[in-house]
Amino acid sequence: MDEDILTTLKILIIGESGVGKSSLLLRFTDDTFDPELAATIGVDFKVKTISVDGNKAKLAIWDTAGQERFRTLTPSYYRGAQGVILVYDVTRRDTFAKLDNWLTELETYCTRNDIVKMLVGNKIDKENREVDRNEGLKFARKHSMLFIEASAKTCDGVQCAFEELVEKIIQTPGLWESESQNRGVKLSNHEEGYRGGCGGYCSML
Amino acid sequence: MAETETPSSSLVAAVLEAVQRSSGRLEKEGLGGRISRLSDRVEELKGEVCRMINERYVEFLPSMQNAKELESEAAKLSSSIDQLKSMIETEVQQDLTVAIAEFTELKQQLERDTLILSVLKQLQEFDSALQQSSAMLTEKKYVPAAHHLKKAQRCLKLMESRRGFELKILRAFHIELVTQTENLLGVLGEEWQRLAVWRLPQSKEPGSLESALQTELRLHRALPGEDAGVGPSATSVLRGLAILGELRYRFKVFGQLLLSYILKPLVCYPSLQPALQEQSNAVALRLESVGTPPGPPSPVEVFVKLQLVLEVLHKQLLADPPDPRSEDESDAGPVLAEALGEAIWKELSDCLTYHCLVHSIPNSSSKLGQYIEVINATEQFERALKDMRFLKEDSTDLLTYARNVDRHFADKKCQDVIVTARHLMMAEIHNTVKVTPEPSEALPKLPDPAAGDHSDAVVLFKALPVQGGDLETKARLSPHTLSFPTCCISESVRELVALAYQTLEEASASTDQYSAQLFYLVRNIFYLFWDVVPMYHKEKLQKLPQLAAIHHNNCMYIAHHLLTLGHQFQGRLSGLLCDGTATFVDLVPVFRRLGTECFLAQMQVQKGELLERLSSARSFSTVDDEDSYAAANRAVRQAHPSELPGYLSPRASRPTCSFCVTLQDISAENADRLYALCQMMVAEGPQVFVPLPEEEQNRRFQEEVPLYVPKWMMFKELMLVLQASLQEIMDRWADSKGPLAAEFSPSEVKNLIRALFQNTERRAAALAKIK
Repeated sequence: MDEDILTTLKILIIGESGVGKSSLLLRFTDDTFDPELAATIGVDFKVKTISVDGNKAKLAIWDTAGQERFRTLTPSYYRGAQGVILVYDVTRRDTFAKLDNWLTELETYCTRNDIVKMLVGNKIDKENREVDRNEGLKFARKHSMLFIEASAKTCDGVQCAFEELVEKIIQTPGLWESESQNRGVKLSNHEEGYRGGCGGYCSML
Repeated sequence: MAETETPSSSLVAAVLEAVQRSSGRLEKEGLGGRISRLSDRVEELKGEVCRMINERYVEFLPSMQNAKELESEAAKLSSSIDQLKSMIETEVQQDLTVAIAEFTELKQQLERDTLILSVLKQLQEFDSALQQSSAMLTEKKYVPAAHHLKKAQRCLKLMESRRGFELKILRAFHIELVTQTENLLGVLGEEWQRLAVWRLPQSKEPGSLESALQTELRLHRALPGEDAGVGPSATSVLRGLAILGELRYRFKVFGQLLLSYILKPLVCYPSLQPALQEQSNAVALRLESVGTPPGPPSPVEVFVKLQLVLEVLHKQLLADPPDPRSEDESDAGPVLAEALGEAIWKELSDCLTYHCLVHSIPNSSSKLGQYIEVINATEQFERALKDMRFLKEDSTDLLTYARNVDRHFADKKCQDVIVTARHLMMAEIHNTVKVTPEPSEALPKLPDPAAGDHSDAVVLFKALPVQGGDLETKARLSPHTLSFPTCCISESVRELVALAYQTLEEASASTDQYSAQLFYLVRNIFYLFWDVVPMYHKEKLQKLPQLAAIHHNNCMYIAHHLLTLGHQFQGRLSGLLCDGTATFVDLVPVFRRLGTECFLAQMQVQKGELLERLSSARSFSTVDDEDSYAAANRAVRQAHPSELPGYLSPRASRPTCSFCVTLQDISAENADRLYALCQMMVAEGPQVFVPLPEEEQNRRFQEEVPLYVPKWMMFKELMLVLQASLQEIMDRWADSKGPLAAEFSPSEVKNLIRALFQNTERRAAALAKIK
C-alpha cells in the first residue's frame, strides 16, 4: 500500500481562530462536518493519502490553533512544511484583514522560501458574506498564492484546494524530490524553486 | 757727703776753667788776686763743710736715737694690743655660742608651753563639750547635745591632726567620743522609732495589694514625755540625726519603707486610698481599699493621694520652725524635707512615670488634647512638693515627662504597633484567606493628580485625553490588569498590611516629628518581617511546600502593596516626608526576592525528591513488579501537590514531565500499565492549574499546559505510541514530517517500535522507513 507513494508532504493549515481550519481538514480527511467543533488546542495532526495526476502523495497535515494564546507554540510547526493553506472566513472581514500578519509569520518561521501557499476563503455557504471573491483573488495574486473559495459544510472546494496545492508542490522541482535524501543544505535547484513559487493561481467557482 | 763733694768739685772745675781761659793774658796780673780769692773760697768751703759735719753729727744722730727708742716702744705696745685682741676673740666667742644655745632652748620651751596650753584648752573644750552634751542628753535636748558632740568631734580632729604629738589620752578621748556619739545616736534612733512607728504585714512581698492594706504608719509630732509634759519634738530628733550625719541613712531606710509599703502601692493600685486617724499629737496613716474599678490609675487622683500622704509627713515630722539658736549656717544642717525628698524622689518619680503617667498617655492622637488636665495636675503636684521643700526649686522631672506627652504618645504607639506586628509575624502561616482583585477593605486613594499643588501634573493629565481621544475608547485595559491576582495568603499578613495602612493613617494625622516616627515604624515593620519570618518559620518553610507557596504569596502581596503605599500617603504626611521621600518602593524587590527564593528552594527540593522517586522506578522493564509500579504511581501522583496556589504552578509542573524521556526502554507487555500511568498524568496534570475560583474559568489555563511544560507534547506522543498500531505510528511519523518526528529521534522511535512490536516483516519494513 505504501510502496507506490511518491512522497510525503507536510502541509500546514493556518489562519485566524474560528475560520474553519479544522473543519476543512475534517471534511478532507474524514468527509464529516461538525458545526459545534471545539477550538483546537495546540495542534492537530492528520495523515491522508491523495492521488494527483496518477501520483500518490501522503499528506501530513498540521492543523494549528488559531487562538492567539497558542501562538508561541506555532513556530516549531512551520519547520519543513512544503505547503501551507491560509484560511480566512468570507463572512468576517477581520479574518481577511489579518492575512498579512499570517504571511509575515509564515515568512519569519518557514525554513524554506519556495513553500507553496494556498489561500482559502471558507464558509461561502453562509449568506452574510463580507469579503468579496475578487478581493481574495486580488490578495492571492499579489502574494503569489493559489486561491480558492470553499465551504467545509457543503464540501465545496475542499478536495480541490488540497489537490491543487499538492499538484503545485509536485510541479515545483526541488521542493519535494530531494527532500527525503537530503536533509542538509541544498546547493542546487534553488532557481527552479523560485520559478515555481511565483506561478499562477487557480480559480474555482 | 757726696752732696757736699759735688759743689766743691764744680767749684774747682770752675776755677780751673777760669785759669785755663785766662792763662794767656792774666798770667801775671791776676794771679795773686786770684790766689787770694781762691784762698777765700777755700776758707768759705772749710766753714761750710765744718758746719755741715757739725750739723750732721750734732743734730741728726740724737734724733735718730730718739726715733729708734720710739719704735721699740711702739712695737711693744702693738704686741700688747695683739695679745689683748686674741684674748678678747677666744673668750667672747665662746660666751656667745653658749648664750645662743641657751636662748634657743628657752624659745622652744616657750613654744612647747604655748602648745600644751592650747591643747589643754582644747582638751578642756572637748571635755566640756562632752559633758555638756551628756548633760543636754539627759535633758533630752537633742539638738544642742548633737551640736556639742559635733564640737567635741571637731576638737578631737584638730588635736589628732597635730603631727608627732601623740597623747595616750587622745585614744581614750576618741573612745569616749565614739561612745557618746553612739549613745546619742542610739537614743535618737529609739526616739525616731517611737516617732514613726511602722506596722508592717507579715508577708515578705512588699508592693502587693494585701501587704499594702495591712500596713500602718503612726507618726508622732513629738514624743510623749515621761510625765505629762511634751517630750522632744520629732524635728529635734531628726535635726540631731542630721547634725550627726545619720539623717541620710535613716531617711533612706524610712524612705524605702515608705516607698514600698505606701507610696508605690498608692501609685499602682487605684483602689487604695490613704486614711488618716488623728490622735493627740500623732497621726496613724493606713491604706484602705475603696474598690474603684480596675484600670490604669489616673494621674490626677494619684497625685492627690500622694500629696495627702506627703503633707502628713511634712506636718508631723518635718515642719521645721526656723531655729533661732543656730547662728551659723553650717550647723543648721539640711532642710529635713529636702533630705527625705532626696531619698525618695528619684524612685518615686520613676514609679510615677512608669506606672501611672505611662498608662495615662493616650492611645490615639485624638485624646491628646485632654491630656492638658494631667499636665496641670502634674504641675500642681510638683509645686506642692516644692512648697513643702521636698523638692528643690529646679526639679521638674515629672512635668517634663508630662509635657513631652507627644513624644511619649508616639513611643507608646510605636511600641504597641511593633508588638502587634511581631505577633502577627509569628502567627501560623497556614491560616489563610483568599484575596481577590476586589479589595475587601477600602484602601486610601492614590493622590488625585488634579488636586493639590501638582500643577504640572494637572496640565499633563488634562492634555492627554484630548490628544488621544480615540485611543481611550479603543484600548482600555481591564480594571484588574494591575491588581493582585486571586490567591491565598496568610490571615496574619493581611492583618499586617492593614496595620501598616492604619499606622500610616495615624501618621498622616499627626505632628511632624511623630509622623516621621510612625512612618519609619512602618518601614521597620517590613524590615522586621524580612528578618523574622524566614528565620522564625524556617523549618516549616523548608518542610512544607504549601507553606512555602503561601509565604511566596505573602511576600508578593506585601510587595504589591509596597508599590503604592508611599504614594497613597504622599502629600498627607507632614514635614520632611511630604516631598516624596516617603516611599516603600525600595523594599519591593527585597520582598519579591524573599518570596521567590523561598519558593524556588522548595521547588528544587520537590524536584529532587520527584526525580529520586522516579529513578527508583526507572527500570520499567519490571513494571509488572507491583512495588515498582506502586513507586511509579506514587511518583506521578507526587508530582502535583494540589495545594499549590494559583498563578505560580506552571513552574512546579515543569519537572513532572522531564522523566518521560527516561521511559523509552520499555517492554511491550506493560504498555497498558504505562499508558494508564501516563493517562493519569495527562488527566490530572492540568488540574494543577487552578488560578481562578470557578472551575469553568480554569479550563482555559489547563489547556495552556503545553505552553508551559516543554515536554508535554513529547509526553502526549509517547502515550499515543503506547496504544497505537504499527500503521498509526507510521502515520504519526509521516516520513519524519509528523508530530512524532518532531519530538523523537528516528532511533528513539525505532527502539519504541522494537520494544512494542514483535519481530515481523511488517515491523522490519516499518523500521526501514524510519530514517
